[in-house]
Amino acid sequence: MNRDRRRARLVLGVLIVISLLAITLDLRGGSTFSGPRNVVSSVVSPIQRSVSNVTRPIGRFFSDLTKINSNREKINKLTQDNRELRAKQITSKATAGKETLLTQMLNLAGNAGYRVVPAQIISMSQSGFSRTIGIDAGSDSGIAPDMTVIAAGGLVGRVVSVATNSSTVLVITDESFKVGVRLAGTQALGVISGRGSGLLDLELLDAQTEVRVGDELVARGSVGGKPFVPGVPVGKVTSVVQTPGALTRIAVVKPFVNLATLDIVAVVVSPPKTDPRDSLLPRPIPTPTVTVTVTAQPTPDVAPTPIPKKS
Amino acid sequence: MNNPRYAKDAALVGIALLVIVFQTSVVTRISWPLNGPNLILLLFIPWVLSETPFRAALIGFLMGVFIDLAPPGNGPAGQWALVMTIVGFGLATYAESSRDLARSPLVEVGIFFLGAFALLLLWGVLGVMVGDDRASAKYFFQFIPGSLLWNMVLAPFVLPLVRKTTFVRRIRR
Repeated sequence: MNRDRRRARLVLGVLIVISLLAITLDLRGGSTFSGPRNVVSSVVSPIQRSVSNVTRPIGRFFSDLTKINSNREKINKLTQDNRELRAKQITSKATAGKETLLTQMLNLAGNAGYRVVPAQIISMSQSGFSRTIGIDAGSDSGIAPDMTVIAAGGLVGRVVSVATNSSTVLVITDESFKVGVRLAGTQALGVISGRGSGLLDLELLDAQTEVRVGDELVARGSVGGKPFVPGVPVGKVTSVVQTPGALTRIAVVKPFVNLATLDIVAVVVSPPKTDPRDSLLPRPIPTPTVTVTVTAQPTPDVAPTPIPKKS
Repeated sequence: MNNPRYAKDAALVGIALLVIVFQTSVVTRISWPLNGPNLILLLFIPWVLSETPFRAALIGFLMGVFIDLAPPGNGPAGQWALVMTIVGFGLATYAESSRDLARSPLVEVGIFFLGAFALLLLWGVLGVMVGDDRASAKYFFQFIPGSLLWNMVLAPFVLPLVRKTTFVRRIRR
């Protein structure tokens, strides 16, 4: 008993001394223990890895359990963020589309030398006889009645009434709408009037003028640029009505501007110094010529063997 | 002295290593509120309570060295070894001097609490002495109470289990 106790004390002392020695050695910063550590680590690490691989789902479950509240908050926050980001994405998509339209429109105005005020369509009336749109720019922005309204493709209409921060535009397809036009490339004059539908009527003043499907029309321009500045593309002839003996020639015109998808327009607040003539018309897209080259390889002739018929 | 005893020792060493690995790779990876339980303490303390002081000191030293050298350990080698040697020896000496006292479940849990507290406190004090960053105010005022709380919750279930596993050691000499 006594011997046991003495032995135990001795061992205790030795172990304490060894531990203290180890601590001191390790704290001195030498690499005394990197060897043993490496050995133990190389044995234990794989075990730890496999153990934690096996138990990770359980561990995660418990971790989640202890964090249910904060996880719920996190989920709520993420859902919220997601919603906001999605809304932002939709907005930015819409903005990107608008930007292209705006760029095209400003290009058109820039080429012509018009000074324009861009505006967004905020209302549209297609009922009844008058086809009008409301835009979000008014006399504040320098808009006055009888100004020309254009969009990326060409003529949209003219301003009929103005408030401080909004105006009403009579659209080209309105039945009371009339605009003097010129057949692009020629000096032939005519008048376009709305039909109340998507198409326009063209009346050429000279019955002798040759007009063909595909001919393009630009606004002739009014005195002082009001209500129409010169050179604005209006539309394209889609069919010619043969009226033998009549004083004028009639044709049907499709406007360049697709009024159904219109979103941004520009009001021309000051006309160009010089008439842009035909320069604003959309450039024709070159038709690609398809050339097909067929290379035939001579196949070895296989003489058809006559099948002997049995009689 | 005979074969079963050594077989049992080998099994216990294996269990101890497994528990250490399990503690370091599973239990500490779970983010418990208040730091969570320490299975090493739950095995070590009841185990040394049923050992002679000589063997208890040796067990503490070996387990401590393994904890010090096993991967997540980055403190000075020997820190755990020193603490566990001392606590193992102390607990075993106490258990030997008052053998029947240690067999009452309530006293057993109480001794476990004191042992665990002494071990964690000693580790922290030693850490402060050697300038270990982990022995911070957070360790003393948050980790130790939290760890003790968790261990006390588990102790009534784990201690009898460990005692039964190591019981053969009581019928010694």
